[in-house]
Amino acid sequence: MKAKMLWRRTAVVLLTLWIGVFCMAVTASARGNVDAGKEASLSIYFGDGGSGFSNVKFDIYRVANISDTGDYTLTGDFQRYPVSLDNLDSSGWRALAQTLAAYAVRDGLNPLQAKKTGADGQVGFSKLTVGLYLITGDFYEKEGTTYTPEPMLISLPSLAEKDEWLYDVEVSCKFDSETIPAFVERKVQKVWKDDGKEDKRPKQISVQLLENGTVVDTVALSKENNWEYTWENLDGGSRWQVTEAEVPDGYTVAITQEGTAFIMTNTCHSESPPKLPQTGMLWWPVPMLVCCGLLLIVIGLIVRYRHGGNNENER
Amino acid sequence: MKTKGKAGTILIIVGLLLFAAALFLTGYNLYDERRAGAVANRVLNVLQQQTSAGSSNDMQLPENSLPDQTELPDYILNPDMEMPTEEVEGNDYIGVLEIPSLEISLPVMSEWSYPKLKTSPCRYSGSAYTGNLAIAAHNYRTHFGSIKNLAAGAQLTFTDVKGRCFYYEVDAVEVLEPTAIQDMISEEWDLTLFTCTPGGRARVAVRCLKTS
Repeated sequence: MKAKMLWRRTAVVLLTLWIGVFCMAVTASARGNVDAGKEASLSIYFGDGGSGFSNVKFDIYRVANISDTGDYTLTGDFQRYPVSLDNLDSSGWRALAQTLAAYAVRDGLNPLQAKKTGADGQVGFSKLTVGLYLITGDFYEKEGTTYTPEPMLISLPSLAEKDEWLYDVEVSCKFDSETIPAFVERKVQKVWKDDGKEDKRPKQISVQLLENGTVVDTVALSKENNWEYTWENLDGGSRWQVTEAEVPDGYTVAITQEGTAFIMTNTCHSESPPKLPQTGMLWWPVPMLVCCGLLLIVIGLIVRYRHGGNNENER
Repeated sequence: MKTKGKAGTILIIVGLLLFAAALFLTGYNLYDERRAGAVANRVLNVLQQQTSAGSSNDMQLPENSLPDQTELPDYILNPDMEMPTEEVEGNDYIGVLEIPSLEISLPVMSEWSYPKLKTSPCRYSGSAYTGNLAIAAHNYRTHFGSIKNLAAGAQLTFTDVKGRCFYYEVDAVEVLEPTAIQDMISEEWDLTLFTCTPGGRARVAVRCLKTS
């Protein structure tokens, strides 16, 4: 019992550290500089209720460089993906991890390192260059339940509580657990974040459904289907993900999974600001026209009157 | 002397022409106002028929199926979802706005453009689901011309095309500069209605909060 309690407490502490890593990282500029020459290490725990899951493969990918001040820039194969690393909160980082994980598996990117967890559910990666790392793991099955690790993005180094850069980081892996059904349903919903720039939005976009990393279906989302689609009767034993086939120019993509639904958000990064529409009727010229008209008529009458008076005097 | 007499006549003619232009513009504006009201009414009738038919279909469950008590509506699970639309006369609408105190009931188009604004109010930004919906309309008396008269506490209802109602109360009425875009789409309010002031130099914004 004591061991279980200890594991739970450790897991909570590690998870808190993981969530805090990114919130702190974005405000890192005021802290000390990152030592680019220093090696870092990462230790991951995958388990539930104090019981570690053994023999589960974890892959790590180096997705971004980290600057002296803690800013990230996409690197290597990840440079080609239309995602944004700017101004992300914890849910934004979570969405980015899921998006990049789906792209990595779809495109068969080679992980930097791949290792399996030991009997205690721990796996360690050492001699790592500083940067931002994507961590993905296989699912684990136990007594009819699957435990699927959530992809995570870990900064090496990460900011510790005392505003110090921590080069040896320990994290507890978040996971989804569900009993294995014969069939599952997956839904994708498109969200547009492009207020005022809707004219840049394409008529439709293509979404790819991945089964264990392989594209098995492509569907079009458009206004006609309210930008959503549902796949039914999918194999419950497979891992299902989605990717956007081609992200529209000027947009970035982020995908999150909420239960059986994938939320695919496209954000427009166009520079031109929206303008408030001119919604007034053309009333303002009316008083001007009336005033000018009246003035001209009065002047005209005066001129005619004076001209008429002169004529009479001449007679 | 004859020239002066002619000049006077010309001035009177030009003055009368300006008068005529003012009359023509007034006539056109009144006609446009009535036309816009009639179009919006026509669309409203079609939309309400489609919406009631659609929502009654949605309510029908297949035989032998039990509703999942724990299942929440899509828009609560994912408020960022795109608002569903219904097409009427080639335009997509997201729902109907009702302001009982002004006896106004108007359809709301999904996206705005100047030609669309001549037909009905349009969504400028946001969504009823995320609680930051901003609706723009012309200041026709048949559209948003009288929203400046709304008092705090006035009730409004927005019903989406799935028949889901969102209830609001007017919190404030303010006048903003045409460039105050960020202020206009502020997420401090759940619903904002705006139109031009009579002169067209500023915007009247009616700020509303959800009541339930």
